[in-house]
Amino acid sequence: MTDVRSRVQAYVRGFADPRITVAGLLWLGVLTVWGTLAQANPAVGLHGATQRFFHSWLFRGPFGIWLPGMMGSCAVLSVHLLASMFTRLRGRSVGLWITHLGLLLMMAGALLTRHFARETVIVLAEGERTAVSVSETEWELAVIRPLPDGAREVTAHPWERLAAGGRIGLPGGLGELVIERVDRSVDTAGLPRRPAPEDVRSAPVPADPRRALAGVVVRVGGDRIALIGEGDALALGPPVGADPASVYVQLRRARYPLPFAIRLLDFEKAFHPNTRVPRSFRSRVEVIDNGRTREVVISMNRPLMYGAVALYQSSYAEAPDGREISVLAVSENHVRPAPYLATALMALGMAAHYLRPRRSST
Amino acid sequence: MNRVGRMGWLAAVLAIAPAAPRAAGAIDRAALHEWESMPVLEGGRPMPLAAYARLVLLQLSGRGRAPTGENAAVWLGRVLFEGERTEAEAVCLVGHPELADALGLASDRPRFRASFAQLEPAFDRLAALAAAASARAPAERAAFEREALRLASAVELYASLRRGRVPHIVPEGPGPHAQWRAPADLEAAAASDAAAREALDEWRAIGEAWRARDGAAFADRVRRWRDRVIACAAMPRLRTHLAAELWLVRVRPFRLAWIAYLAAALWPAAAGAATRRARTARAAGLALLVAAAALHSGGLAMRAFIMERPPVTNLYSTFIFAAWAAGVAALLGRLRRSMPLGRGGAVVAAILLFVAGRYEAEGDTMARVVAVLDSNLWLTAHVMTIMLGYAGGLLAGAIAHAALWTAARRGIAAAAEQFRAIRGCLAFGLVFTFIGTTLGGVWADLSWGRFWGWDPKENGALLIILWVSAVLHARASGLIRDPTMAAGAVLTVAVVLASWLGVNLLGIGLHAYGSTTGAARAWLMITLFEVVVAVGGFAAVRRRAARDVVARPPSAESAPSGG
Repeated sequence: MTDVRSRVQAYVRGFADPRITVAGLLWLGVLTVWGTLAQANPAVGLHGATQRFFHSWLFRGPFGIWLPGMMGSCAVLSVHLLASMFTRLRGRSVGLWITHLGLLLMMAGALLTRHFARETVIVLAEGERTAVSVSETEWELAVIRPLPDGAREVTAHPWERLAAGGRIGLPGGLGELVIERVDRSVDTAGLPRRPAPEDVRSAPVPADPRRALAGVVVRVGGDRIALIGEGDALALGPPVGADPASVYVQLRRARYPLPFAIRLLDFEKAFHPNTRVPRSFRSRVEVIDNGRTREVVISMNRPLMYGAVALYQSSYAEAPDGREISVLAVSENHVRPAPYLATALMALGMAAHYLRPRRSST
Repeated sequence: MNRVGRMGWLAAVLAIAPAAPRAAGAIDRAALHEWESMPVLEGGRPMPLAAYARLVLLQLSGRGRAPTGENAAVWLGRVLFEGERTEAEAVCLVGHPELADALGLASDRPRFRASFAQLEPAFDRLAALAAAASARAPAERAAFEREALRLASAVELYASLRRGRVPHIVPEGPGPHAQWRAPADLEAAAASDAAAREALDEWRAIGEAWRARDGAAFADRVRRWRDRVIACAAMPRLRTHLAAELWLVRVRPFRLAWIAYLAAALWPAAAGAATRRARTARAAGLALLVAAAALHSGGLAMRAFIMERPPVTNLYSTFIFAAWAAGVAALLGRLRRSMPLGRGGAVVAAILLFVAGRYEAEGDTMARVVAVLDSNLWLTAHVMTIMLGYAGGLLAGAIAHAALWTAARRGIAAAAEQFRAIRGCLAFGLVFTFIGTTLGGVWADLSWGRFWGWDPKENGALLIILWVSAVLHARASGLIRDPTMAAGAVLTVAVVLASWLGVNLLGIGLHAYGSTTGAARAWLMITLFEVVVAVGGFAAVRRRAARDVVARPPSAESAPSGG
């Protein structure tokens, strides 16, 4: 038993070797430089570089060699850090211990944010209301059935569940829809609004994935239909039952329900005098929550926080009818406090370490 | 007092002596003072005409003074009121020989100044060149194309001045957000707007007094105009802001501080010696630093007061602030008799202020900030903190140069104090860069909805943290010794500059508020230089250490060596 314990302790001590710290930090530096330079390549862009270098556990480097990405490297360094905290850092300055604890929390928060946070947008013209936010990169296949009372029954099938050969049951006795082909990005150059399935061609995903348009080819009964992202909703079959009940399918950007509804009352933009330098953008919105309404102003540096959901003033545009359009970024992140707490811990730890009374040396 | 001491005091007095305005041309000193302090709107805020005139000249000719040697405000007055007399003055900088050839301008110098009259026949060609250049992405423009754009913009500015489209001289209404009108706007509105007509008449009367060389009438009319504009603008503290900015323009405290820092950096150390001569030399060196830091702090405080913001809103001001941090470190170093810190801080402050001067030439207007930066709290918490971190890294690098030199010439033991200072500066730089970066993450979370986005500027700050952490961890765990740490600190300079300027050169990311042009080569050269210093310095220290071991008696062989 003692032998096993001492062997484990030896392994832990070995894994806490300071050479791993230095090598790990330098490797993270290399990744940071590499990933940053890759961003300047228009074919890769910020998103491509982030995915390859910073959001990856492993990535293919030169000559096809697999190298640890930022996530993988940080995971290894986290284990190393944990080992160091219980070996090398034991009995040393409590400030160092707190600092490294904060670092661990920071890395854990980054990992959780990466996997569980969601970033979407709301685009509203003045007077419009919504209770959903829209993804800029994800798609869904929506089956829409208008109801006699004017409402619509919508069943959304997320992109991850769409695969060639998959089947989706349709309402209204229309049978089922069979997916023949899915493309993350299609070439829409020269295509009509309703292209023939055989005309739909795959295209490489652009550096900025927000510019990609997905495509799906489906079969309903004997008909083959091509659906292009952000295209029109297509009616399936003749009306069934009471008029005007019919079923439509549409490939659209994924929508996520908000825990409240929001209406844009007014959007204001202001510039510094005699310049085009923006002074402020602000959206005056009405938040409708369980029947209660309240007015809120969202502006730069002043988001609307609602539990794990936060709405930020992101951009603006003008509608064809002259109304102003406000673009609000929506972030849903249940581990939002993690980096705040980690920052506080690390600052506290560094203060405790560097401001501690020193023993005088002779 | 000995000669060295007298020189020190003289330099200190010269550094703090304010530059009095010199009258020139048609108007006397009193009239010039009124004219210089007249408010005009530029960059979204009112400023004294003296500051505006200097900006115009910087944009036209790359210098803050007129080619005729006269006061910038006087030159601007001549452009506004008797513009035809300035058409033949060589004021527009043509900064690239290929551009001169393309425009058919003959000169035996690669950079020269041409007059508006000389450039006029080539306007069409210049416009075509500028249009072609603007069609290309900024990062892909050649130096010649960038220069064509700059010259086209300068010519446009001169033409706008002549046509009365700028400066904006009178507010349309009260408050800091009201639009201001230029003389041409007043002319356009005069037919239907009595206030505009009245203002136009007053402006023309000022012009008439100028052309009549009637100094008293000119001063009186300008004073009345200024009082009326200030009353109309109804901005609290506007009069004090104008006075403060006029002081900045006249005294140019950062230039004086630069001279004082440079003198302090070159000042003989006389450290440790207890003679009267040495004490005097030390006091004179300290006086130089006190003068430099006082001027520098005063200038920064004035900028913050005028902008009503922390003094770190653009690239130019970050250089000024980082230089201030280095200057304060130098002063503290001198007071604590730490020569590495005292001299290293003065060197860094002088270099940063020199570089800031180059960026000022690109036109620092203390302009209003964009909406996303509209937060004094976060500008203070994030930008100022991270700039302190940058200053710490640069300071460590500067001291490391000297430490490697000392260790290579006199042995590692002789550089012990410098190595201690390097370690302290690296730790300071790490702590402040880290805190500044994470506070930036908090700001980004509040502004953009994410703590970290792998934006190039964020990555640059992360790189400093990773590099300095690696160096300090390696030193603390004994993997490297002091000379290697010093070599690492030398390379920190390149890393800090990469974060500060290098990522702007990429021209991508949310932080690319203002990219720099023409700095890529300078940055690359500095990086190469630092690599050579780090490698060469380290090798020289190793060689010296090996020599010391050979020369040392056997009993001393266990002493530390380089590595």
